[in-house]
Amino acid sequence: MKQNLILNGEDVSLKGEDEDSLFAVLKAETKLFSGIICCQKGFCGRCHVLLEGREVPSCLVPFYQARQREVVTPEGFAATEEHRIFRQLLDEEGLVFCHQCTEAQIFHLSAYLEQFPAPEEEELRTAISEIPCRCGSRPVLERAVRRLAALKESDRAGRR
Amino acid sequence: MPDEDNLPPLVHTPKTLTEALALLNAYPKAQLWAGGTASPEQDFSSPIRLPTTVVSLHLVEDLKRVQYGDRFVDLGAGMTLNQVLHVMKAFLNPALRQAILATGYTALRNLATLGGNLCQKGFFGDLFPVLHLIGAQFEFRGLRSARWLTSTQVSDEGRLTPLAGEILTRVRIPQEDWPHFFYQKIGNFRTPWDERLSMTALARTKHGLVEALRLIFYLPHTGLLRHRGLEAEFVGQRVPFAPRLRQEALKSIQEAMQELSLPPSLFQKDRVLHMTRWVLSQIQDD
Repeated sequence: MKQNLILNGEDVSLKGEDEDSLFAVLKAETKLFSGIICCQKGFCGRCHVLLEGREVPSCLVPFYQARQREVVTPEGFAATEEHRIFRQLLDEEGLVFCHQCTEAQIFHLSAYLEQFPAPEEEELRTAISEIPCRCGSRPVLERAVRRLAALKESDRAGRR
Repeated sequence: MPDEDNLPPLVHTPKTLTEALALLNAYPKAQLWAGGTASPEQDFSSPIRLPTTVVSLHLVEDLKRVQYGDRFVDLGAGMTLNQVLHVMKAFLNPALRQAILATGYTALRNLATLGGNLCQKGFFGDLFPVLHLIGAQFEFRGLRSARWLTSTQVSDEGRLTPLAGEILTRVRIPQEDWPHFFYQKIGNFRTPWDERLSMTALARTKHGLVEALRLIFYLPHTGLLRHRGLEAEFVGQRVPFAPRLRQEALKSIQEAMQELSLPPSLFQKDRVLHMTRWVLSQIQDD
């Protein structure tokens, strides 16, 4: 059964059953999440998407819930100015990029800051630990996220 | 006749509460689907194991409303746990906030709903024990009925069970100040049932005396363990508590555990005593 949704800003029609996971449909019907291995149980954090602006694990979302709704994947987010700025901050802090977790971390932490703009230190560390990562990059991520949060805050203050 | 298990699920996506209730009435075997995050316990994989007939509540805006009263806040049962954190902010009871944060990571809390956590069939006991202690009330609506129940009128299992054709629609959270709060959850859905439990404690003191103390444990296979007699004995007692009073409290808790219909495991007994001892040693004057 085909269902219409807005995927990374474009109207698309994707084929899938109601009970398929959104992740499975995106992987099968598009070139998104290419090479990404997902645990399919909501633990690994690599399949996260924004569904109506909120970060969710797409392997836990039945496909029918995406009908007529807006979905943004890490690939879609990678084309934004915010992603470019975050990536630049991570470069400056010396992060070594890995294919499996870095993009998931960038996506997750950007979404997190959008939802919780001024996290306490402990909350931020918890947020960073939510994407399993064995690259040892957490301190670097923390510094970059703090700088990104400060940039966002000054941007918001400028708009007021 | 086709095998019912092999048929694709019939998914209904009502947009109003009335529509959702009408669907539940028309399809008595239909199951409600809220965030769907309790399902990982059942070995999640694509396709997701949807029930044969589903009434999905994700588009029902009536279940996501917030109403503020003088001394309470009514939260729609369809609100996600992050929406609850966001809406309540500083007004949220700190123990309830800790319990919400302990349910899962940020993205999961964007799916998981308040009502789902309270009514799900797995035994997590995340939010109900805290809501029980703070005296929350729960609204259930049917097609032609509406009723409010206090937490003591609903089950002692640690979760809510609406009647057939009913939906949990609102949770009324009293706004009371509890300067001393403790919440601790041990184990997750991967942990064997007899090694899981949660503890919530709330206390209020004035001029060095206890005004109120509440303590509850959730044991997955047994339900809630709350010793009201013990709580009453602490009212008017001076803090910090005398060692003898604490010892007597531990003895009372031990006896209460022996009276449960299903006895707790050794591990649970040990943790209950340990956490009781810890809570009682932490309460000082405000």
